Amino acid sequence: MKLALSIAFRFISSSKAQTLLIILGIAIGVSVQVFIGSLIQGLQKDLVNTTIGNSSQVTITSNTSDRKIDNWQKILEEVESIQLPTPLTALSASADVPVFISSGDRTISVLLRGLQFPQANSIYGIDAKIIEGELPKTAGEVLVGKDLKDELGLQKGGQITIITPDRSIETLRIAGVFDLKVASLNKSWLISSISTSQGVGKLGDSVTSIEMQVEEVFKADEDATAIASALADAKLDVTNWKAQNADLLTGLNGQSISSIMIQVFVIIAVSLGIASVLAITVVQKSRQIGILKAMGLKDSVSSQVFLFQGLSLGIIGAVVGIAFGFLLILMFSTFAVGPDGEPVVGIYVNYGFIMLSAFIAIGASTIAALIPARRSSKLSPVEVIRNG
Amino acid sequence: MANIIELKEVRKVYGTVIKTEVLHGINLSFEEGSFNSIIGQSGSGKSTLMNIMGTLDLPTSGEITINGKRTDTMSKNDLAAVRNETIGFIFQFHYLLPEFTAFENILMPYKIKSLRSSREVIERAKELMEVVEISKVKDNLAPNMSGGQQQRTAIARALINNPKVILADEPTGNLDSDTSAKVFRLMRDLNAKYGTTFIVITHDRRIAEETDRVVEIRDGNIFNDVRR
Repeated sequence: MKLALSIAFRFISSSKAQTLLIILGIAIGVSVQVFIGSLIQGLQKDLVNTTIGNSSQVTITSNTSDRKIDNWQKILEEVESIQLPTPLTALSASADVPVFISSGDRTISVLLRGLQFPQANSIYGIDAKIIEGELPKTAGEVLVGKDLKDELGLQKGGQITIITPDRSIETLRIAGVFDLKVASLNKSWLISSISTSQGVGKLGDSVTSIEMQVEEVFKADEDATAIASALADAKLDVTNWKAQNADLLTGLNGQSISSIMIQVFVIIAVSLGIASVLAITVVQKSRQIGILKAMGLKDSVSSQVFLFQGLSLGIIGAVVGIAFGFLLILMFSTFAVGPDGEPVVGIYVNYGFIMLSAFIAIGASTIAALIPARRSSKLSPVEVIRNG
Repeated sequence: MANIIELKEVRKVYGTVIKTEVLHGINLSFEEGSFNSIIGQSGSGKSTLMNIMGTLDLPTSGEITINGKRTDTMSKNDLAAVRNETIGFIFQFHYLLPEFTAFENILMPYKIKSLRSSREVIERAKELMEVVEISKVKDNLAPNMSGGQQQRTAIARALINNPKVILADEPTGNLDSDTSAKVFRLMRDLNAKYGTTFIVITHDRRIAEETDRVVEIRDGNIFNDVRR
């Protein structure tokens, strides 16, 4: 084996231009893999994050006519004790009440969201999105959205009058202004503490939903199923974001499949390149192989020579390719930036994926070397001797 | 002396549709330590005979015994071992590996046999290089040597594993007459020094005349066998 390795290295290093060409071929294949893979993964992460990063991923609601969940404290405790496929990163209850704001001759419909602080911050990050004022501390305090504030000409510290579902009128104090970066939410949400909205909606101690975020978002459906079966309450529905965002999922799947397709074809192209170059090398080196066999080199060792060539070209190509890939990523994140100076697509560097790409390239190179290795093994020394 | 190579009724047929018999039942043996030549016109079957004696080619029928072992029934791997340890080849073209230096080429048959080069074999390689006078070009790649140096390197390579027999096919065919004489003298010296059996295949009667035994092949038969 050591002999095969040393002959392989000598063959590789003696035809430098050819070796360089084949390494470049593998390297470009690997770099395209690394770059496209990281780009698409980044794109997916971005997309998932923007869409569901700041919303509930698994939600428990009531299917009774009044939509109230009474024993929510107990449910929270229960959910916390369940062994889930992917752990929860956030868990909080909310009491949502639809209300109206009367302004002049107009009536605007908004949703008063009573959130459980500070737990709700891990979902919505409200604390980081307050642009004026602070979180509601006492009952009767609310946060208003930036767009609603502009539309109605509201002021921090001012009053807002709302009409509750049972047509009573309540006055709340504006503790601050939030900006969720989504105009429709900035216009239609009022955020208060859970007790404020419970009071406004006459909910008693009930809430309207229990919201969760999970560590691995694509396993949210598994968590939802597990929670539903653990709670075993026919009056409760457990929904997850995947069921509610079928279009997004289809899009993400399409992206994954096209990315895999690109990668598969890159691997095929690289393998074919290696196989053909190595096949040419066997022809070029048939004289040497023949003479080595005449001197007693075994067929198995003569095929190892080409397997090792494939393996070592694959390793060098993969290493160079990863370096190229990082260079491409660096160039992309330096030059393809939006007006705010941030890259247009956040690239996600997944070391596991990069290692996998490298191993696939090395494996493909070695497999591609099988054909020339077989030819080398079958080569008869007498043909070389007879034909010069 | 015992026979190092023995052929019994060796026939060789080429082709499957149109069959051409190039060797018609050859019976031939060579004594250990002797210096022989096989002479014949091109197409007489002498190279086929050498390839069969060297286990590079298999006979269509007949028995071959090399160093006391039947080789016509051996597996490919066993044949490779026989070639490696018992036989040394010298060809008309040197067939050195162009990717390796003279020294590495000489050591190659040893490296095929065992993984690590011992101090003895390195000493032996150096000694052989002294004997064939190529110490000066020890580290030259094969293509960076003269024709005579290349052929002498090939001879040293054939001898590194201390083979029982050297098969030389037109060893001087590609060299000018001066170099040719030197290479021939070298082979004779090596025969005397190491007791290695030499079988030189040639079409040049003058070279054949210098050996101890001349076997003449004509149309696939032994036409003449003269010992001196």
